Amino acid sequence: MDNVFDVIVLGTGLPESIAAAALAKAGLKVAHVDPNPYYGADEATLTLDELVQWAETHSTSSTEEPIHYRVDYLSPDCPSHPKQYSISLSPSVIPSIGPFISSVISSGVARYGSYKLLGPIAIYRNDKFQSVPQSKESIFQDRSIPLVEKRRLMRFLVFASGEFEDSPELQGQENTSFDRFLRESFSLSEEISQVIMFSLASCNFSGESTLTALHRVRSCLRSAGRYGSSPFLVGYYGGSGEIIQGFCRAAAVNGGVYILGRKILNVVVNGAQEPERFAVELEDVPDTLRSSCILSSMTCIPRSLRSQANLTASDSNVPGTIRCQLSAVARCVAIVQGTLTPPHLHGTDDMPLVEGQSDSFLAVFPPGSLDGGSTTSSVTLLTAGAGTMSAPSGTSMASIPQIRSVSNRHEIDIIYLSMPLHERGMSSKDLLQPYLAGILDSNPMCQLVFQLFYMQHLPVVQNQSCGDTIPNFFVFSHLQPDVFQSVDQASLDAEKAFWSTIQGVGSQTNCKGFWAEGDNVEQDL
Amino acid sequence: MADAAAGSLDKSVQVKLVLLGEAAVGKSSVVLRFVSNEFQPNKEPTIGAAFLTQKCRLEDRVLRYEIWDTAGQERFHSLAPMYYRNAQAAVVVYDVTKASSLEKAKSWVKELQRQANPNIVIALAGNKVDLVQPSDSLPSPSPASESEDEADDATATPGEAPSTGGGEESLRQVPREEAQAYATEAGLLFFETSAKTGEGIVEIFTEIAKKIPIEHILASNRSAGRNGAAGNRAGASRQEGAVDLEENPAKAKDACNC
Repeated sequence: MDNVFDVIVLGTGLPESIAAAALAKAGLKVAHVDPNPYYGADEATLTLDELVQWAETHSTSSTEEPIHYRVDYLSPDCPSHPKQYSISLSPSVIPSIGPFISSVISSGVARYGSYKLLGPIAIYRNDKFQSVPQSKESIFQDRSIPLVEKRRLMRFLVFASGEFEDSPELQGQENTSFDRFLRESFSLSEEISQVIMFSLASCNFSGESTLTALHRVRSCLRSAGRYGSSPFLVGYYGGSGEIIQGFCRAAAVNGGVYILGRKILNVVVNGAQEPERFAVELEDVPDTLRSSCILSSMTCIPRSLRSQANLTASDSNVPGTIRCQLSAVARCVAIVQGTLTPPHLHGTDDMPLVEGQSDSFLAVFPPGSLDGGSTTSSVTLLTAGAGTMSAPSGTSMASIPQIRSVSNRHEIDIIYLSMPLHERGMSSKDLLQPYLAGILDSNPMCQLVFQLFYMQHLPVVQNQSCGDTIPNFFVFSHLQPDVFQSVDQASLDAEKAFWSTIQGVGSQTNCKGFWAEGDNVEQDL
Repeated sequence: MADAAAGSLDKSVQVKLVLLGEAAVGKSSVVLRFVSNEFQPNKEPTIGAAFLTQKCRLEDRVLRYEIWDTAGQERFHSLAPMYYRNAQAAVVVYDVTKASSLEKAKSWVKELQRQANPNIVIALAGNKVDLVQPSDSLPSPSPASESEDEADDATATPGEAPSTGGGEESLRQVPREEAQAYATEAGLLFFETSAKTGEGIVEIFTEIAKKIPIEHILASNRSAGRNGAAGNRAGASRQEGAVDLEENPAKAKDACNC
């Protein structure tokens, strides 16, 4: 086997896979390796039986790994038809405008998958879900907002969707807490401020800075209307894990070599004079892979080399993508029989699903909104069901007697809960159980059939030492788990890594990945 | 795209077909023979293509095959679940001159039965049959072979001269009867093929087309249009109710559809 490559990509997480597709497209010889037998690494989509297996292997936390998991609770029983579930380890929605969707389209990966609009976005207040207006039009329709407040809100939305950078309103307020900015500069009520902060601006905590939050509000507002009423899309079959497979296939059709499920035994760095600076040894692969460049997730490289890697994070000066440093995320995956009632726009009647809209919806519990819940962190709820092929559809389950027909839509919903944390040490079950209970209380027809609680620990961010890094040895900063923003961040990181690699390899190809110029392979008749 | 009832535009039904088989048994060549003979004799090679499409006409219906090649991802058993997803047909290829390739084919069939749509139509193709037959005794070369016979068979195993001239039956390692018996037992369509001469190629795709439960596909597509849930999605084509990412005037490069 020809075992010499321009670049070896280690790990099939989202940023690695986007970068691999771009590099292969640019004409580089790419080998893409993952020690797991599945695609996607920390952003994988698993079937339910695979998820159970995954949880069993993570019941003890390995602190060796930069990103590591600790399962706090796993249901003893697995529902039937486990293979008909697609469950994401990193549930996320896709902004309709942004670097990620651009990459999906310009790479041609769009044609490998299907997407729908996210359903309602809601915020939990006063013991119930209230739908969040996602466009100026829907604010007019919302009968629950007093007229004066509507005017103020409109004034804010016009401000936030425009070029606010040099506006007098913002001067000197860039680092004020967003909450205060909304209330003082725009006289918005606490209720409306919360809606803006925790949904449109997707803040995780109170007190995030105004400039960052404003950028997120603007990208959200501008995304609405591209494909429909919602600014966000959801992917079929579990979302990003499926899209990753599309990027990897795109890399493969451009000559990328794929090796999954082989343990990485060693990564060797040769002397600078060697033409192939790097060697990667894999279990059960007789030939050592060699390359002049390595692009890896932090997890895939030996501990001893981690401090010598060049961290390729997207420019942290790009506004709106500033990472608030999390140390962990508490997560829950629950499966219910019966369908969660999606919140509808307050004051209007139950709205039928519009064309292209999925049965997924998203809700945010701001800090302190739920009795027994967190007073410092927000919790995001995302649901997925048969509408995005993430769970068995009602019809295919109809022959099973114990399932009562409770809905005319479908009968299985997947519930994802995630809570970003600044501190470690707590149990994900203790943290999230009250939220799950609250959701189920308001949906008495739903019966819980599966639950998994786990903690995802994130690495402490290393300060890049500029001194003794190895050239052409690029490592991705870990992806901040964020329902709204992680896919865009992955794409920015991938693009940065792409250009670093192109430069590192000194490639003489014309070097268009799909950021410089998109050219879909057109092979239709 | 929104409301176009399933396959209504040209009355054809889209069918996703996946190829499987050991490396170098001639998977891509089989498809190239099928695809490039029908409409585009000078079609460029498949490298870089997401998938190839080809229509297949029967008396009463037209199928539009969306044919997915493995893109080499089978080599380290790294095919993604996405590859099998919603495939309504599969062609599992082996090499009649290599016994181990049939064993491999059997394991792919198992994999399909485990991973793929339960209604999938599977055909087993014993390729490179030209290597084991005297060229004059070919049973009526298919119409597909009429035009060019040139070095289409790019993956012919190195070291074996394909231009045998006389019947080298000794090269055969998989007796036709053995493969046929296995196919019958496993419920597969079976053909011996030659991508080089075209023998058996069109027949495979035609027989698959006859066996595809089209009504079932249409029915599930219709229900998809109504409630967004579907048992089948024709390959990567847009499912009813789904958003077409590329259908967007804001994207300059796709803007001109006129």
